[in-house]
Amino acid sequence: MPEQKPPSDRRTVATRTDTFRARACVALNDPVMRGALLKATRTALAKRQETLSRLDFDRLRQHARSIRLAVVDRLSHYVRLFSSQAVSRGVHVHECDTSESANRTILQILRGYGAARIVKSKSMVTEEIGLYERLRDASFEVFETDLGEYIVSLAGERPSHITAPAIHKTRSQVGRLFHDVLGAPYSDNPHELAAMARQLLRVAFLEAHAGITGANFGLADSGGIVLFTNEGNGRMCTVLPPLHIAVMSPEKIIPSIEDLDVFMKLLPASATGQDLTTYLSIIAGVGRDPAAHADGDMHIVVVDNGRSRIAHTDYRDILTCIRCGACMNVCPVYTSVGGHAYNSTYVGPMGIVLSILLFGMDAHHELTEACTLCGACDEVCPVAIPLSRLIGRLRSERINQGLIPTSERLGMKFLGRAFQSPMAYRFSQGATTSLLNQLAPRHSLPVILRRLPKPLGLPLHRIFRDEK
Amino acid sequence: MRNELTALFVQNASRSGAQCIVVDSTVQLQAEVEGLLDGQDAVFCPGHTPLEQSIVIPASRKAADVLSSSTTVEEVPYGVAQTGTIVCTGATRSQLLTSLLPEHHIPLLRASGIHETFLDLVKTFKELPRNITFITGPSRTADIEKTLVLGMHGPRRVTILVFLDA
Repeated sequence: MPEQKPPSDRRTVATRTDTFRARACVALNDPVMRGALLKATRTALAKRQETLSRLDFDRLRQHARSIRLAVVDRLSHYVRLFSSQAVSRGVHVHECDTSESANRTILQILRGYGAARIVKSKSMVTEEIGLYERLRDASFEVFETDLGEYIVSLAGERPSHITAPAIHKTRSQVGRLFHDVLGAPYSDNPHELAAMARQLLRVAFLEAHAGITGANFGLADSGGIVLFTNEGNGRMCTVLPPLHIAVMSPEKIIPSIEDLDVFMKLLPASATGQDLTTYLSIIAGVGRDPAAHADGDMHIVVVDNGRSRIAHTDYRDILTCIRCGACMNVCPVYTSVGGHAYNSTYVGPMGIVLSILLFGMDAHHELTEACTLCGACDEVCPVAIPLSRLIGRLRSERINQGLIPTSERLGMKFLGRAFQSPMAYRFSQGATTSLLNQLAPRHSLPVILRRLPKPLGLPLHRIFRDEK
Repeated sequence: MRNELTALFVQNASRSGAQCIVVDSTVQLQAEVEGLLDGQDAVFCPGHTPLEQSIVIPASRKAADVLSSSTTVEEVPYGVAQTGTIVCTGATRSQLLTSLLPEHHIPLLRASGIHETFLDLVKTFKELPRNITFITGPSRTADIEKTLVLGMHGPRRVTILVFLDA
């Protein structure tokens, strides 16, 4: 097995430019990335469409939404229920308020077991709290085992999509990466590249002291966690090592296993267009029989990280998100600029909302610009989150907090005045129209003005009046 | 009704990329298992249930345990017809690994264990088993340019032998 070089800090690549606009410009000038992204998102959408055409999507998603909202509205009750059930089934449950306390708790658990080698399956909440970096900084040997996550971790990048982390990479880029970092012979055949990763990671699974996973859902009435995977790495992480740590956020809880039915239909269909993922594991505790004790210990770390606060705001709908990624696949902005432009754990439409709510308006306010308010995300969301409305609301908050450029603020102020009186409106419309008519044919103008569409020639109110 | 469920199961399991063979006697079962093995296979069969015990693996191809096997043969208790899914409820490490580690997984499923939907199956549980694994087709990934690759971490090949019992 070739020696593995430690990947560099994953945050460095995405932060090479400091504003969303600058990062978007870099992305728009990267035809290789854009080609890979468009191909992948279009494939995912076509498969989603085909699978959902066999289901009553609207009825299912209203049902799913009502289940999720009922939990979000009584979050602490469901967390208590879930924890007590899990504890009664032999699981250790830790409730953590912040990402810092979650990371500290996880490090403590690992040290308590003397675990140094760790295999990890894909989990958004562990990305959110920066667990991978924390473990590496503390000198743990960590392997991301989902193929896409493995690729981005070798590249020293962060995932650019929540269900397809390496969506921005082409096969030849992956081949070159495996060649450079793993010393493997170059290949751009996905089958050969996957086989290489299988071989290397199989050794990691067999030697690991602990497996860390997320949880797609938690079951309140049994304390069980639910994992959807296709590769089988989630099962490897939970079965092979003697210690399993599941990290989950509280809103992932649903009342009972019967409620899982609707999500089994909606999640795989929305994410990859499958009827069902290859593996669906429900892990509800460890053996209470002392003879089976060798089968290992299980810890669940519930990370709130601001969610109880969000549950009491007008944005609580975002907590019903099931992380399928359909909103990014359909978003005209995401599919043009890719995930790295957002510079956040969560990207695309759901990412705009969640990043601002979790990490603060100050850090991520410019992401509200990464939206055309077209509403395509609202239509595909399997839990009917009104994403464009939430983004619109965040835009007004951003303005109220004075986080927009002075020119935009003054322009809007002027527009507001002009719209308040018919006379001012007519005057400004007339003036603007004649100005644009004068300017239109001139080629000496700056590019940005030349790109404007040809004006209609008449102010809007005159057009409406003439049509009557 | 029973036959319709079996037919639906076979149809959907095949769609998910698993191969299905329906047998109606242990003699036929043995013949099909032998037909599936090739010369290089190291085969592990736990031999816990009567159906597993009815299968004779030639000594030269027997694997001592699941870790050293390339093919496993095991009985699974349930199937879900609507998705062509096999369902394992064993919770010990070695029971869980049997469907996960080998290149080729050969589950034996009694037709009487097939339920139409997930909810039909769940309703039969008096208490939730501590580990339930639903398996639909072979392990797969599409993480490189959405190209489908089978056998990412788990089995590349799944062959379900459906046993028609009374």
